[in-house]
Amino acid sequence: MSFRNAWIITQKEFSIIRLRKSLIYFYVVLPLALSIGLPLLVWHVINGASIKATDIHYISGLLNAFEFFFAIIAVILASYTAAYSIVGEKIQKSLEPLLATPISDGEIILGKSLSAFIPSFIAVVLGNLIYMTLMDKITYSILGYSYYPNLSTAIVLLLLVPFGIILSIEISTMSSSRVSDPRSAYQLSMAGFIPFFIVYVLTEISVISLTSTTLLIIAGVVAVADVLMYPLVIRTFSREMILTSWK
Amino acid sequence: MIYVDGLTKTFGGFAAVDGLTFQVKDGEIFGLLGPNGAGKTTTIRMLACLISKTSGDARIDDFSISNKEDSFKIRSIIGLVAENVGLYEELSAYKNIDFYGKLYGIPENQRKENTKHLLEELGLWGVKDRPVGTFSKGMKQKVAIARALSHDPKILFLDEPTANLDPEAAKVVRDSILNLKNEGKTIIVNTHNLDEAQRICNTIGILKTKLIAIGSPEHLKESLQSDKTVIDLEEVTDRIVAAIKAVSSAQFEIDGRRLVIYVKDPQTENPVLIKAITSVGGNVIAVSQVSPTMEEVYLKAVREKR
Ligand SMILES: Nc1ncnc2c1ncn2[C@@H]1O[C@H](COP(=O)(O)OP(=O)(O)O)[C@@H](O)[C@H]1O
Ligand SMILES: [Mg+2]
Repeated sequence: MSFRNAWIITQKEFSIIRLRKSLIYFYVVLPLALSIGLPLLVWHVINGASIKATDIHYISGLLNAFEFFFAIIAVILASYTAAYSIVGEKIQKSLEPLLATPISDGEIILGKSLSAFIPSFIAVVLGNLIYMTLMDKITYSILGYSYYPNLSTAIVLLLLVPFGIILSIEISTMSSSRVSDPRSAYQLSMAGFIPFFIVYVLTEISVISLTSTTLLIIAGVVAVADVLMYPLVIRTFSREMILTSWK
Repeated sequence: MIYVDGLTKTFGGFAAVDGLTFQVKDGEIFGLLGPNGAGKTTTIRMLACLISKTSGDARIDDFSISNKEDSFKIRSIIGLVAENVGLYEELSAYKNIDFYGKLYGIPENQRKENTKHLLEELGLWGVKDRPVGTFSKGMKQKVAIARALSHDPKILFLDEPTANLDPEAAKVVRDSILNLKNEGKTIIVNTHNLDEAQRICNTIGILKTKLIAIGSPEHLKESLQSDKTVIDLEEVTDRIVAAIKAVSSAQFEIDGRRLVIYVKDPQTENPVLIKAITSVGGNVIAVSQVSPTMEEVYLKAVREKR
């Protein structure tokens, strides 16, 4: 496995991503919607009513759940990018000549994964930085301290987001092998987003609360899923399977 | 040198390619000729180490397709133009080729030089920065060929490079294949077009899961020839039929006022046939020679095999 070869693939993917306006738009709009929208929402709530002590507790709970949104958009962005990248090759039938070059299956999958990982991770981290700054400014007067950054943020950004991105890339790869248009690949790979959504709903109905411990456990579960999925992905993305079994 | 020995591929229980044995000498064009589903693509894919073989072996230079280590070496000395061009439509012609140059580990300066040379040679330098999605089929095929040459491989595999092209584009592609031969490349080309195979190949293998016949175009032509002489008459009479039977043992069919005669050697047989027809008062309106289609030669080959 040569990282150099994988990186050549990544660069090629980047030059295609750059040309896909819808993708760029997605990368800018989704994180910005959260990083500006959520603070605006909180600002609206705070300004609209007199704040009681119970509200302060409520607000900090809300902020933890908000953090989780960033993990969700990371997953959406990565799935979308990975699905487009693999189904794109499939539609253009460019995998066969590519596989005839002295590059290994692993290098191709690594290169493609990086091209989905890097931009979605960067977009989410940048969006989150903006979010934290704005949110601190808005909530400082009520809470009396800067809520962000905190341990939960670190767990979300450094563990949950990267593990979530990896899982969504794995799922995208698997589903891309079964369909032949990017839209359905993307929809299929949204399956990776369902567990995250369930967790979110559970917090909303107060079955679980997103404390640092809960977040850590979720990140751990996602990491285990990453590892379990890996051999399946490698099998699906083998040259023999690509050329003889992919639909 | 390419040595193929008993190469076989089965999918489930179904044999797609069965026991192929042939050799391709350096600098030669070898044509795999066969109808759809004959196993041409499967053969090239095994040789390019894209899919595994079920049994048998093939060696390219000193490397075996059965050996995983060797498979990387094989892939670095071959170029493949697949059945579908498989270009990145959004990227420019230049970028498509440059990307492959990088994969083959060609240093940047040399890559620039090679890419320029290839694009110029194929008359694409002027459009090098246009996305290939905007190109015609013929131009795309040329980019695919240029891309397969980005590392100046000794050996080229071309999978039906002129299928789906209009005759003019097909000619341009055929000419560039011949140029490559003159540069000393060893080429295996898949085709279902007999005429094309005859024009560009040194050796032709007729494939239908098994290799049915193999030899130079001349050799195959002699052994498999089934040229048709088509004679349109004012009227086909019993006397004419009898006269033909008297001078020729060739198989023939009557189709209304048309006689279709399967001749071995039109040059000597046609004048005799015409003379026989006119001698019994037949009025010849038109005579035409129909070269065998791939299918006819192929069918003949299968029949002889049985
Ligand atoms: N992945 C596959 N699974 C099952 N059968 C296959 C597969 N690939 C090819 N075949 C079968 O193998 C035969 C040869 O196919 P192919 O090599 O594509 O022929 P050609 O290129 O000469 O048209 C065909 O009957 C085809 O249906
Ligand atoms: Mg084919």
